[in-house]
Amino acid sequence: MVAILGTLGFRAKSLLPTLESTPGVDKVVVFCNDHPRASEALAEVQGVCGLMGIRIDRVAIPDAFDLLQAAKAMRSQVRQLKKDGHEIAVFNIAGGTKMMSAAALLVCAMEGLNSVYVHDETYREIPLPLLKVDYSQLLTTAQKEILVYIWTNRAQPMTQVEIAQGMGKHKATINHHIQILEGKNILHLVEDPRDRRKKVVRVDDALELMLEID
Amino acid sequence: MESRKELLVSTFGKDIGEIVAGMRSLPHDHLILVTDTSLDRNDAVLSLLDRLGIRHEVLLVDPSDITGSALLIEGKVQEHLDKGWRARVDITGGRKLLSDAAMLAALSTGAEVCCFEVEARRFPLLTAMGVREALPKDLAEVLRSQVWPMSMEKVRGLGKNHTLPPKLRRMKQLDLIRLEDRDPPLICLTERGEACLDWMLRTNGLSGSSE
Repeated sequence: MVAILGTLGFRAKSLLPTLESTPGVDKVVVFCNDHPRASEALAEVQGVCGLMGIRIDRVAIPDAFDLLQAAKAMRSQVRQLKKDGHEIAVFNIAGGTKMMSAAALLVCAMEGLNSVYVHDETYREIPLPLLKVDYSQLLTTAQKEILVYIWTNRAQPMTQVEIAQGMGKHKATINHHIQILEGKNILHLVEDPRDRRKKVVRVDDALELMLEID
Repeated sequence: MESRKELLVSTFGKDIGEIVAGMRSLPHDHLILVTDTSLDRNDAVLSLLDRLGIRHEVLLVDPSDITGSALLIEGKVQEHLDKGWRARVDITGGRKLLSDAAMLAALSTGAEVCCFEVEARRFPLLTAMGVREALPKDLAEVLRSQVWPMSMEKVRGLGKNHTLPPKLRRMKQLDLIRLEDRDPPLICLTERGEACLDWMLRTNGLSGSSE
């Protein structure tokens, strides 16, 4: 079972070349929003799929400008397809908003999928140079534990001392790991609104996706 | 302690408004405008940057070449990262191809991605995840040094302890190569393999990550 994925905007032509060029496709999963012009483009793709005997599923992306939500929806689909035994031949990232394409690129890198861009003038397919990178493998177990703890308690940003106390670890150990994580741009030390002399540790929403702690 | 300098890379089409939100909300000691049309010194956007005293440069890219465009942006970002700067890429302006090329460069360097199309959206990538990081050094060397396609017979003829076959198996796992059932069978680059080789050949000094 071979599936292809694609972001879809207002132009069906950004996706159709991949339908034609990928051998043995039996399923297409399209990510698009509810804009009337996107629905028109979807109808055109559905028509072509109907003629070619290819099943098509649409996944709604309610906010096509939210990279994190779009990436989460895409990753979830990719994993479901793999679980159902599909081989994902390629992810066409040419259609949709800039953020949808960016989300698709991110998911391709995280899941190790082949990705292709369709040029908006020539409609030529261009394979993109992406390989699988597992963010969570870039961290040690201790670093992951600290991040999960910070993420779980993100509603109440904590100082390094509070994290050490909460985790029952030595302050120096926590400081050491937090310094490394800050250097990797995974967390930030910002002024504590309760006491400006102190700094609290803050993490971005992206952590949820990157480190798979959702 | 001296704070890190900030690089802002903004994709730009025609309208100054495309870069204003990023310029106003993202710190920048230097701004790189990525565009696919050459800008005159008197162009409104450059005139505005001059008047505001913003250090800037224009990076002209070829819209027909997304990989080449991404590489040019990546080179600029990496150059600043190597000097200890922090980098952000604002993909709001210009045509989609520019934004996708900039996103590829951001993925490759770990720069934060920002977009202000509807409202401010920022997405830190945490760390670089491009070909440079993902492709182990030894496999990068095989990809670069071998002649493709490669005869399967030649590989079979190598001694049991030769290092090439296990490397080829790892390359197959990364979907860089595939076996083509011909007579004799050939080991060919996949489209991804070709794209990665193209990226490597166009990048000076790319050596892959160390495992």
